[in-house]
Amino acid sequence: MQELIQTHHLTFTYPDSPQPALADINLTIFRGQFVVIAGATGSGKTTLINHFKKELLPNGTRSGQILINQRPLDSLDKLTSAKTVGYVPQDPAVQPIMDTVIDELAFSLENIACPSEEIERRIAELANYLGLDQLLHNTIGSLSGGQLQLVNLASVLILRPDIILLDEPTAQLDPLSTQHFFDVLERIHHELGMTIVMTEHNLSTALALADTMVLIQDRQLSFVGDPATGIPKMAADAKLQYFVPDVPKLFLNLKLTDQKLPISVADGQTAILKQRLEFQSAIQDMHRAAAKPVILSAKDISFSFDHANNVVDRLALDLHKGDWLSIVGKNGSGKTTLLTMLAGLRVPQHGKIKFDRQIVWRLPTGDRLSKISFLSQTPALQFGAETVLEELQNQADQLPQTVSNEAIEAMIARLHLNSVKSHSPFDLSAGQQQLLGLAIALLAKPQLLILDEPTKGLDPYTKQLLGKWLLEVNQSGTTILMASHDMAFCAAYTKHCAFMFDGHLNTILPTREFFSDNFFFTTPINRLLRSQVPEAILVDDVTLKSEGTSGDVS
Amino acid sequence: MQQLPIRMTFFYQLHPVVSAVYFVEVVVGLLLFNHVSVAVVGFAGLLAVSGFYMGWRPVFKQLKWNGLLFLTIVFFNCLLNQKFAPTLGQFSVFGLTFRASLPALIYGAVMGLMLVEMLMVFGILNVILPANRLVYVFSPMTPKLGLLAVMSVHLVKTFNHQFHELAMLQKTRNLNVEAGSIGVRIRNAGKLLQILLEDSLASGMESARLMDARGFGATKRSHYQTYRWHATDWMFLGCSLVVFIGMIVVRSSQFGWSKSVADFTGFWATDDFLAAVSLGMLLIGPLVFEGAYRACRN
Repeated sequence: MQELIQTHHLTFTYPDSPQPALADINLTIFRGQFVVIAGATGSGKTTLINHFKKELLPNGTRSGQILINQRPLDSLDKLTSAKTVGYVPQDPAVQPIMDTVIDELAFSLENIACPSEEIERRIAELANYLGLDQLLHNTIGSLSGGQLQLVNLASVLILRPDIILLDEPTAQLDPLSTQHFFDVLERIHHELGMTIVMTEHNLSTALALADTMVLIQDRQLSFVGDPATGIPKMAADAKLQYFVPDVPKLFLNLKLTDQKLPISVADGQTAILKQRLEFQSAIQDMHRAAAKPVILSAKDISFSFDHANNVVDRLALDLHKGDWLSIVGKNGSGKTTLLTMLAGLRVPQHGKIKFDRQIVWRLPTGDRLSKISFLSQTPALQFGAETVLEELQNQADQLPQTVSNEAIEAMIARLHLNSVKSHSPFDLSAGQQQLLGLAIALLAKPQLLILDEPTKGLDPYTKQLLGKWLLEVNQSGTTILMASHDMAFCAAYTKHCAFMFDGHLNTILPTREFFSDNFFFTTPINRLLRSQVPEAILVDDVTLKSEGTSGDVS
Repeated sequence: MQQLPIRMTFFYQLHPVVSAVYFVEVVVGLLLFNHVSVAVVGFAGLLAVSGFYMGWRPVFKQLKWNGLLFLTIVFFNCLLNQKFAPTLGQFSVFGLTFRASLPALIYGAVMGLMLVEMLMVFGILNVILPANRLVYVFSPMTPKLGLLAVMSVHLVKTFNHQFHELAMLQKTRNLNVEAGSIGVRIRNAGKLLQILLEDSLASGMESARLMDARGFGATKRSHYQTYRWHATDWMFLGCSLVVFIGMIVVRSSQFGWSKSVADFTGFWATDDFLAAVSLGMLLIGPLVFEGAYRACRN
């Protein structure tokens, strides 16, 4: 096998940092491997992947050796680097430069001086292969998040690199776009033999495709090998246990580890059939609480950006006090527009929204700030101060009620932001920005908390901390309304769910009913066990009824 | 005329270098004259061209914001130019008397119109010379200039795109540009612009890094779309150059230009005719050629 990436004793320290971000990394990636780098936030995943491409090398002190295609990274000229290593970033919107898809694809080839006829040939071939041929003349701005990320991948793939690096490429995509993106990755890996190296928090699909898992703990490699072997190691770690995907987690929890650990739903179903496993429901509390008074109501609201197509169309909603409602739906289905209207930040062109019987956009600013809090999916656009601490103090100053410095400090500590409280909010990682945004939103102890993709950029460990905290907030009386692509989070914590489609919300259902009724937008456990325990959506929802004998004939 | 997709219009099909030269002529041309009648002709010409190529809805949307900018400039010009006559009216604030004079009003209107016209020119440029064409024009000179041009366009786009969202989301921080006294609104708008600039710059830097990662500047770029010079390119370039040189001659003769604010006392001066006609010709040039092109096409 040919070594494509090698690191020997790689150690890297960011400027002004007391400890290294990567310590003594020895890693070899061979041609044709599909590698997933897993680890908690801040473990050094992104720093490591950035060391595989010369143009992305972070500033800091570095020692050790990095070889790409058996050549030192430093010796690669820009042209060779572009043709050898491709990179797809986390945020789909930041890479495109050109106005249309075809120009974006041509851009990469123009950079390496490809002749015009060859550019056309390569675009035609790749666009047909990836199914982008119908989008070629679409403007970049008109694409959905999933389509945009596919264009980003295509604009790198068109250079025919040896390796493709992906930094959490599906973090901002809805579940179906995520699945489609992984399908494409699987195809280019299997059919083209492309070497793929990716960092990912959502490991359920990624690890099912990968042949190698690299685990980083405390800035060091703690495991390199077959994912089915590495997952039990993750499960044994206090923090990384939350990273274990649901299907292997179920088998590990029930100690069904005689055979190879299944990772995907399909593998899980095969294992269940093979071992003749029977599951039973362990769901205890199925009673529904009586509905409380309505706190927010929307009647017949419509909104259009272009006065031609309604993003939100004649939508009606009654949100009850103390509820926690999740809205799911595809990228671009109008969830964000709806939430901003419900928060009183945007006025619908038709219909009325009332909060506590008052028109929401007419609420006096002070009233709105203290009663309704909103967290955007881009929290940085809600920042404006020099430091994290100042950001929270500024918000406290705007509120009619008094918020003590102790309360602010406690919030910073609870969200693990102590180490960055004197940093600029704009310099924080995406996950930390999300947490700071949430802290700002919660400072007022609002009656209604509106969250747009609150788990975006968070690792599974932080997600469960957030979930528990929001649960406390909800139990203390705050009504929560959120839009999310994170089915597992919605299934684990929220009370009701609804699907946003064609500008309106489909029937609002209790969470368990919603996910057990869905076929695509549901959890891996429901997909795996719907034939045996249809109402199961979480790992803890089932226990083993009986363990049959293996169907294997030895 | 029947509305054609932008890619099928004469203006879009011009060689990018011809389009670039034309836009340079228009920008310089607009700066050559400062009489109100010429500015109004310029505005009318640009309105016709942008309405035709961009569609009326985005033009009116742009004009709504530009109108505010125009009024702000007129207001501050009236406020800061106090020594001219005749006076149209006056008012007192905290014992200070402010006079609104006719020259200050007209001069402010001209300055406001010129700024609005520049923004309209960049609006049309964005449609006729998108990023790939800009790179085609600038890359042969130096790839870095090409990069700079693309990054600038990208920055402006990010800036525009984020502004509304930022203004909306900052309401959650009690920063509202639509409420409060003028002073508060200006202060809030300044803060918004600061955040926006920081964010757009950070996003621009990241885009530049990713362009680098895709080999930008590694070697002399090729071009997917090869542009050939056609007879119509030469004709358009020749005509626009002739009109442009005519404008310079008119300006050299001191037509359409006043040095002092005090001279801005009327809408029309006899020497404005040539300036207004030459600017108008330059601006509606694409529409004239468009008509001829459509008359000749199949």
